[in-house]
Amino acid sequence: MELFPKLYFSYSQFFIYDEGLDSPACKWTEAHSRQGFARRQQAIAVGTLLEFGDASVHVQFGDLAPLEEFERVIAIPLEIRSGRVCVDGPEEHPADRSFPVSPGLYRVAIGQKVVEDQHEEVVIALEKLTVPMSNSEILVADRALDPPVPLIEDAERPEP
Amino acid sequence: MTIPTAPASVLWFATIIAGAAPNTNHATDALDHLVGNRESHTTREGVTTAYTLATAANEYATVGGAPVLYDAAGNPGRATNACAFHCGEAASRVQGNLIQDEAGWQYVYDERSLLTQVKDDSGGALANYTYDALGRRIIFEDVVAGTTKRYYYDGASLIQERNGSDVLTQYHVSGRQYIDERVATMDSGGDWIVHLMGNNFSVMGDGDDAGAITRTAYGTLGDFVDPPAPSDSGTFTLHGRPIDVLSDGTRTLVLMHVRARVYDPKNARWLQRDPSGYVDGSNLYESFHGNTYSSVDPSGRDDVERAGDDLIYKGPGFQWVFARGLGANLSITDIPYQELVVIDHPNWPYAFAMRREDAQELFDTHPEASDFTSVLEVMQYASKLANDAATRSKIVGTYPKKSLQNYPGGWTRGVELDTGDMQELEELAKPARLRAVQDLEHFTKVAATLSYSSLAAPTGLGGAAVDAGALVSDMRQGKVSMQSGGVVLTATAAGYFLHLKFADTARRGAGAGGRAAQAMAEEATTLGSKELPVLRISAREYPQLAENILHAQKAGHPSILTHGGAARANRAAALEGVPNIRPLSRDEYPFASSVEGGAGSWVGHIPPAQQRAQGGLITEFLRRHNIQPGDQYIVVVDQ
Repeated sequence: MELFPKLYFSYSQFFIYDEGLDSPACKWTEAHSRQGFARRQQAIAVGTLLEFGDASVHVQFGDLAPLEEFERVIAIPLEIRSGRVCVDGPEEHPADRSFPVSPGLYRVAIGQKVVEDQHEEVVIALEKLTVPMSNSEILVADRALDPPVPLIEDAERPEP
Repeated sequence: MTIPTAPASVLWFATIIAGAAPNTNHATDALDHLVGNRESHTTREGVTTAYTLATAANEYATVGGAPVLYDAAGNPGRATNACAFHCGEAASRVQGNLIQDEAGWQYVYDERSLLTQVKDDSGGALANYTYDALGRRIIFEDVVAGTTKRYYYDGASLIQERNGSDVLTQYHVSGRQYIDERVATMDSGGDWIVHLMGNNFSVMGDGDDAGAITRTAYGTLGDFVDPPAPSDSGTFTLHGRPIDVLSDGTRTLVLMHVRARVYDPKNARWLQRDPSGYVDGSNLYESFHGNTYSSVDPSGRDDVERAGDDLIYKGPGFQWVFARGLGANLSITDIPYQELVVIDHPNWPYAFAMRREDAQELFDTHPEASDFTSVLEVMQYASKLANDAATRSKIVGTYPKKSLQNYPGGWTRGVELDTGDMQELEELAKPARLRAVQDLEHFTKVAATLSYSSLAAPTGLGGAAVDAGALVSDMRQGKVSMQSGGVVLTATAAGYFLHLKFADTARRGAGAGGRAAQAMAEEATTLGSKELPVLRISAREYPQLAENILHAQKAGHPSILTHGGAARANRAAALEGVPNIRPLSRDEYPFASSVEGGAGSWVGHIPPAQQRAQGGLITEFLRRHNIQPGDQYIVVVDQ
C-alpha cells in the first residue's frame, strides 16, 4: 500500500517508529551517518539518498525483492508495542501517516532510490519475527555508504 | 532634444507629493544620449533659469542671463558648471564649496571642507558647527534660536543628543540593517517614539506611546513642501538622516548633514564637492545619482547603488558588493561598512567579508588564493580559513554566493585606499577607543571590568534604567541574545552608554507604531524576560553546524524563532542558487521549519552527519517541548 500524504523528508532522514513513542529522534554520529541509519529499540532514523525532498512510500509485508531495483537497501530490527507504525519526516509532525500492525518484533527492510530531482521512492517491507533479529544488514550499498564493522546497533536519544 | 533628469517613477511620486516637480533639461544627441550640461532648470515654484556654455571646459558662460567668472583654477566666481543634473544654481564657490547660494544664504567651511557656519544674506550668523577629529559633527549651535545640541556617537552612528549643558535630551535606538536605520528615540521625559520607515530607510513619520502617528511630509529628494520650523531640527527624514532647520526670521533653510558633506534638500545638491573625486561621474555635486529610490550615500562621500538586496559600493578604481544581509553583521562588529570588502571567487560557495586591511593581508599571505581553478582547491582553502583561527577571527561575515552571483568576474578586491581613507581607518582602529560589545563573552568581560553599576541608568532617561546585572544574567540564560536586542557599550567623553540595536525591525508596522514603541521601551528596560524553550547546539559536538548558526546569528538572523514555517517552500527559497557540494550538506538558518526561514537565509555547507544530527536535535526538541505552530523558541550555540 502507498502511504499518503507523500513523505517530506529533510535533514537527510525520515523516521519509522512505534506510534507509542513521544519522539523517534536518534543522535546521529559520524559512524551512524556512514552506515545510513541510526536506531533505537522502537525507532529507526533512516538516512536518505537526498538532502531533502518528497518520497512516495509503499509499505508491504514480507521480504523486499527484487533488491536490484534499489540504490540502497538496509534491513533493521524494530519493535512495535502500540500496534501502529508511523512514518514521519523531521519537520512533519504530526503527519498522520501511520498504519496498523500487530505488536511484536519486526525486520524492516527499507529500499530507496532516487526517481527524480528531490524525489525518492521508498519501499518499507515489514516481516514479523518470532526470533529477534541479531543485527542489521546492509543489503544494497550505494557509494555514499561507508559502513563501520560491525554496524552500530543503537543510538542515544538526542539532548537538545 | 531634451529629456527629464529624474526617472519617470520619481517624477510621478514627486508630483503626487508636492505638485509640480522641478525639471531640468540637458543636451542630448540624436539617440537621446546625454551629451551636455543643463540647458535650463525650472524650480518647483515654476522659475526657469537658462544656462549657456562658452568654453571647452564645459564652463557656463551665463546662468539666468548673468555672466559667470572663473578663477585661475577654474573655480567659478559667480556660478558653476557643476550642477549638470538636478541641482540648482550656485552663486559662488571657493575650493569647490558653495559659499553663497542663489537665496543669499552664506556658508563657511574649515580646511577639511566641513561646514562650520551658516549666515544669512547680510552676513549674520545663523548656525555654527563643530566637528571632532574624525569629522563627526559634535556640536550644532542655532544662533537665532539660542540652542545648542551636542552629538554622541557609536562609531559613525548617532546615539545621543545633549543640550548645551550636556544634559541628555534624546537617546536613539538604531537597527542593524543600515547605518542610519532609525528604530526609536527616547526623550528626556522617558517617552518613546518609534520611527516609521519607508524606502531606503527614509523616516516617513513617527508613532508615539499612545499609538498616534505623525507623518513627516517631504518629497522624494528630501525637499519639504511646507517649510518646517526650527523646532523641527533633528527630525529624521531622507535615508534616515536628521535635518537642521535654520531661520533668519522670515525665511527657512533646511540642511542635512550626511557625515562628510551637507545636503541641500530643496535644491537636491551637495554643498561640497565629492571628496572621493570623480568616482561617480562628471558631476561632483550630484546627489544619489538623481534617484533617492535607487541610491543612498550614507557617508556623503560615496555613491552606493542598490541592486536587489545588495548595495554596490563604488570607490576609486574598484567597486565591491555590500550585501544587505551583511549590514547586520557589520553593525554587530561595529565596523562601518565602508571599511569592509567582500572577498569573492566564482568557485566559492561563500563570499567572505573582511576589513580591507585584513583582506590585503590575507592576499599578501596567501597569494595562491588568486589562482584557484577548481572547486577542490577552493574547498581546501576554505577549510584552511576555517581552521586558521587568526584568519577566521578577521572574517566578520560569510555570505551565500546566491546573492553575489550577479557580479561575476573573479575576485573582488577592494584594496585600493586613498590616504584619507587610510588615516580614517587608523583612527577608527585605535584600541584605546572601546568600540562595541560583540558577544556575551566580550560583554561579560567588559561588564566585569567596569562593574555593572557604571552601566546602569544612563542619566536623564526618565527612569528607563538598564539593569546591566540582570541583562548579563539573562544573556547567560539565553533569554536575551544579540539578535533580539543588540547591546553595544560605547565610551564617549560623557561616559559609557548602552546603545541598543534591533535586528528585526520589519515587524514594526505603521498601525502599530505606538505599541511598537511601547514594546521597544519595555524591551529596552528589561531586555526580555520571556521563558522560552532553548534549543542548544553544542559547538564541541557539532563544530561546523554550530559555526554556521553562529555566523547566521551574527549576521542578524534571529536567535528567537517561531515554529510553523512552510518548511518545503522555505527550504527551496533558502537554497535557491546555492551550489550542492557533495559530500557536504547545505544547511540553512533560520530553520526552514520556522516562520523566519526562507529566502535570504544564511546557508552553509556542513558534514552530512552533523546535518542529520541537527535533524534529530530539532525533532527531539520540538516534540519534547510540544512546540506548536506559532510557538517561539531560542536557538543558542553552546561554545
